[in-house]
Amino acid sequence: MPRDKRLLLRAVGLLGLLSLAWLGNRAGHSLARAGWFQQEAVSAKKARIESSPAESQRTSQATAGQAASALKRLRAIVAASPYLATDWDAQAEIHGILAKLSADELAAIYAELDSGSVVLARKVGLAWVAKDPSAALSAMLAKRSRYHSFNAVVIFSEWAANDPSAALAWLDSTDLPPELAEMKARFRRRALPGLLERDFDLATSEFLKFERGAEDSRGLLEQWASVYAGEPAMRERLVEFAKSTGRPDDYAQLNSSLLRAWPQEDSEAMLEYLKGLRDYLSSDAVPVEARPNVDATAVGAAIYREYTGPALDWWMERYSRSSETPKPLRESVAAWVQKYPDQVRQWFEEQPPSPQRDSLSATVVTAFAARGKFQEADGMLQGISDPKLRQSAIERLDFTWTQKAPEAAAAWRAGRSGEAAAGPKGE
Amino acid sequence: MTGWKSKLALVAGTLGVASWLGYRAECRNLDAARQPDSFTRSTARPVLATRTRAESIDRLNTLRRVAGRWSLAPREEAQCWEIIRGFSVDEVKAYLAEIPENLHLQANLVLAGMLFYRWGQLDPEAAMKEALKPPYAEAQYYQSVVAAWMGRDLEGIMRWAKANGSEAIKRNVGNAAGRLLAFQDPETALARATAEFPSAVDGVLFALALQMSDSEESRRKFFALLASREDPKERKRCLASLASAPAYIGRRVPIEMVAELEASGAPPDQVDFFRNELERQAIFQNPQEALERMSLPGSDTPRDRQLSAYANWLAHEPEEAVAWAQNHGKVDFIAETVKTRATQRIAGGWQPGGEERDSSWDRFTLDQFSAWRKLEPSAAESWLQTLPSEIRDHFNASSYDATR
Repeated sequence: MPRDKRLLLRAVGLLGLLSLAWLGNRAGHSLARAGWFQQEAVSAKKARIESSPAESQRTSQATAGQAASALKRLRAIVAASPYLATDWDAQAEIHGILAKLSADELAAIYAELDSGSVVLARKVGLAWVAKDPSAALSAMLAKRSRYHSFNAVVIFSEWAANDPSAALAWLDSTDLPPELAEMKARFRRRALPGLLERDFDLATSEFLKFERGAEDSRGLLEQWASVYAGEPAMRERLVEFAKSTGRPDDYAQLNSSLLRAWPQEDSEAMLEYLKGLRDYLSSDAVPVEARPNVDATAVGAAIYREYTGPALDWWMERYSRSSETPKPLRESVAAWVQKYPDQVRQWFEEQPPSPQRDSLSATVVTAFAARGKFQEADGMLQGISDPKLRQSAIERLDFTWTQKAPEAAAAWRAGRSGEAAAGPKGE
Repeated sequence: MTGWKSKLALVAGTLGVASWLGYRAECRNLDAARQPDSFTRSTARPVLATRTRAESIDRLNTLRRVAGRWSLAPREEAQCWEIIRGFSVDEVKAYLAEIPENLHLQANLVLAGMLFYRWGQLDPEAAMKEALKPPYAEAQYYQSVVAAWMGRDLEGIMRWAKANGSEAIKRNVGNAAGRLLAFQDPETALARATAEFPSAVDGVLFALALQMSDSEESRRKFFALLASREDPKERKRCLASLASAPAYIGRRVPIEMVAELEASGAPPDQVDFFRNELERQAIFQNPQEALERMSLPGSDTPRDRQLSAYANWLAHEPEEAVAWAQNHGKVDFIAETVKTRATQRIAGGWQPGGEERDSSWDRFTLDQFSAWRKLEPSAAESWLQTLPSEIRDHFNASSYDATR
């Protein structure tokens, strides 16, 4: 009996031990799933690694090991996801993995990704750039495919969206690598559009850092104007800002886009704006040398919004003696020709001869010819009194007509009497 | 006393070793697959979600309003999903109703996509039904439901799409499902797709093509597999997809695959089709290499295709492209490009003067003209004389700058 009791006790003890082992094992699983000890393990490892030069090799091995392991997990997530761009759980898992990696580990992973992993590359790049922007963006530029060079710019813009102050401060730092310094304007251009609504003052102060007329800054004011044309408060702030930059072209660009995008249902406010604009342009607020382009841009936008008569009358009052027509107005007149050719002809018939009428007529000849309306173009030639402009318009019509319908063009040339030869013909 | 000590040590040791083994085993699992939710967070979430529902919705609305007319920042997107992933179906429906009707705002689009994704995780059929109604149908939110549904029940969504999906949905689901089938088991994927959901066959073939593109041997196997498919259109679709695979972007396009396809006994029209597709991609991806290959003695590539490769290279690396044309006796490429671009531009109504919005085009064409004029002065001058005088003046004035 005592022996049996001892055996029973041992069996109970063994069972208890096995239960304890099972419980311990489950607890271990749960601890790992809850992420316990992982951070501490990494930190402890890092502290040890940094202690001696002899261990630097082990550091890079550890980095490579961590990176390889993380990359394996990331690739498994991507492969198992039907559409990574809309698979929010998969993305959250990716963010969780990336958040635990160092800049070196992210660099090692980025180097391994090919251009087939677009979403993943952007996420890895974004995590890396936030930790070490200069190294990350330089590496992205170096790795970029010759014909797909936007990764660095896109990733910078995402960093700027996450943390505008840090990203823009980095952009202004003086120790940027040369390959990044020469891309400053492009980086800034991509960072600013969405910043305006979040921080108007920061966005506009950054806008002023673009050099006057810089190619990279083009279109930003127009972009803002078209987005906020329907929001009076933002619209007003933008107009005030554009007037205050000291660069009349900014105001011209803003008006061009603002008036085109202005909602039709708010036409009364637009009319008021146009009146205010006319008064502003008629004053001395715009420097003399900048006026033709600023005025032409506003008149062009008014033509687009079909306030053609008053706008062109105002233009002719100011510029009828000029034989130059700035490009924004020429473009608008060409679009007007396409939309309302009869209205165009009628307006010209009502205009007294003047150098500006000649210049605009030459534009209309070119516009008719570009649309294949050669007879209409020919009809407009009669109204051009300046011989040089007339000859130039004839040559344009001849060239375009010959390209599109050589026989008809030849017949037209032959039929012309009393005109100077249209110049050399096509090949 | 000693007995108790050894027993205590045995108990502690067993507990420690077992816990460590469990911990390591789970770490290995996590290393190999998706990392699941944090244990503590997933346990607490239902409680917290109920208690903080109002705050969650306020937070989402704040993020949405901060973004305004622009996109949510990546960090904000992650924050939104962190909230929405805890929603119940009722909460999803309630918040979906709360998003304003101007869905075209980027932030609203993303949030609605997340809500449909969440709904797809919880009740995919109901989510799909709603996603296919206005106003959601237009924005194709069904793709968010597909992403969630497919991640949890691949067979279920294939059954649903086969029975209920439009052709577009079948194709869409089929492509992704085929990829997942090939990922899960490459050996059986094609048979499964053929039997269970034929719309997934293209997706399987394309995924296998990429998986098997690394070596000549694996490609031979793939082409043999492709030859076993009866539908010629299916084979062509797969070859076209293979030629434009994102994995080749920016890399050398493996033109030698044409010979391998030919050796697999593919019909000549398919070999020609594949060659054309690869060449078309090569012109886009790596025009320099494509152009050099096309210009080899014996190449029968038509001139217009060579010009197309040259023009594409020119657009990215003008100096290198011009130097190449010069060194390879292809001045006619430069001349042709200048003539074509200038003529199109003039005929389109372009007039020089003013601040050029399109100055890069202008500079580009003028630089090309300057290069042509240096190489063939009389031919360039003769052509220039055919232009209207205002354009001629513009070329003359500007090209001197360009050659300085």
